[in-house]
Amino acid sequence: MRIKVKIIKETHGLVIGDEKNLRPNIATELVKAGIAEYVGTVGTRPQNVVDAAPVTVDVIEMDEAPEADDAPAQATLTREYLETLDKKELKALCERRNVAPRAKATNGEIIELLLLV
Amino acid sequence: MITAALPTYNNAQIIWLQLESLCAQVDAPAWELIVCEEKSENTLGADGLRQYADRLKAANCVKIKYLELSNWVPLGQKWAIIRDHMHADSVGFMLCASDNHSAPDRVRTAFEAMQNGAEWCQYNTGEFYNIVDHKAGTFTAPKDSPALFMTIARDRIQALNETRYPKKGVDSWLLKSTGAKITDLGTAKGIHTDGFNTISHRRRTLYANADGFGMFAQADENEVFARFPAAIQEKLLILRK
Repeated sequence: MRIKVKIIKETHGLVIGDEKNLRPNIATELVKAGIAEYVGTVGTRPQNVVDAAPVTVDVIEMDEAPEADDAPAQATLTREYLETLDKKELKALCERRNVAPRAKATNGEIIELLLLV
Repeated sequence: MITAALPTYNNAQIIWLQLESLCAQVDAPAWELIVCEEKSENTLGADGLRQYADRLKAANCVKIKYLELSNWVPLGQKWAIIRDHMHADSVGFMLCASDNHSAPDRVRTAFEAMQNGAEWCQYNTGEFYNIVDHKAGTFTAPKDSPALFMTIARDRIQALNETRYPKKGVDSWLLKSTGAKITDLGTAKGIHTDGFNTISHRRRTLYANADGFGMFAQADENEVFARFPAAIQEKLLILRK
């Protein structure tokens, strides 16, 4: 029995006959091998759609003055200054600036990361 | 005025790429930037965005907004949230991604296309560069499909009136929902990147298949990489390590 294959337009996933789903790469191989037959394109699957989530939006206008920060302004975050900080202080600075320090970061790497942002 | 819409999530390590390219816009009309982000372990944050404010303003960005969401929402809903905060004078809605590098004329070109009556303008062809693997591919969009560096006219994005959002295929959903007609701007000078993408399920599917369903052709990675400004190249090399 030849299996019928439909490409899902939105995701390029594939649906197999008898309402059975296969992973796209498996279905593609089936078509290439001549086992499955490509029969067309369908729309997005209903389960791929979610209802709008209730969400609170906090609007921050950049024209407003930033909140006070006990760390120096970014412009003064020189390598010389950062090198005076120990690892704990660097980590705290990263957190204040919403920069995620890497798990295995050395001081040098954290400095690179801060300068990057 | 035109709006650069930049939704992001968990992308602090790469969003600088889009922001830097927006700071480098040349001959741009007045434009606004709206960043929309949920809280995560890896946020840009309002403070992170504020550090770009002076340079963005120097590139004629006259308004910067940071929208902080209380909880994660699908990308489609994020586009709608940003749309709701567009400036009243904005003529278009530029879809920006954290990991893309816009060409210096992106804002101007999109604005001119909207002024000329485009409903949805995009580049049907352009390069993708994988930062981690140092590989590049040339993408060519199928007929009548979303492509690269897309901009939607104000009236079209305002027509989007949905209460349900797809988890995948958001670009196609936007095109269908807005009912916009595509204007092809040709080959993109900007570059899409991959390797740090945390949003696009579709792109992962394309990459997972050797032939990219016919949308990707091999490109010279050194040539594509060389198109980034020198300062950007340095930062990309740091990321690759």
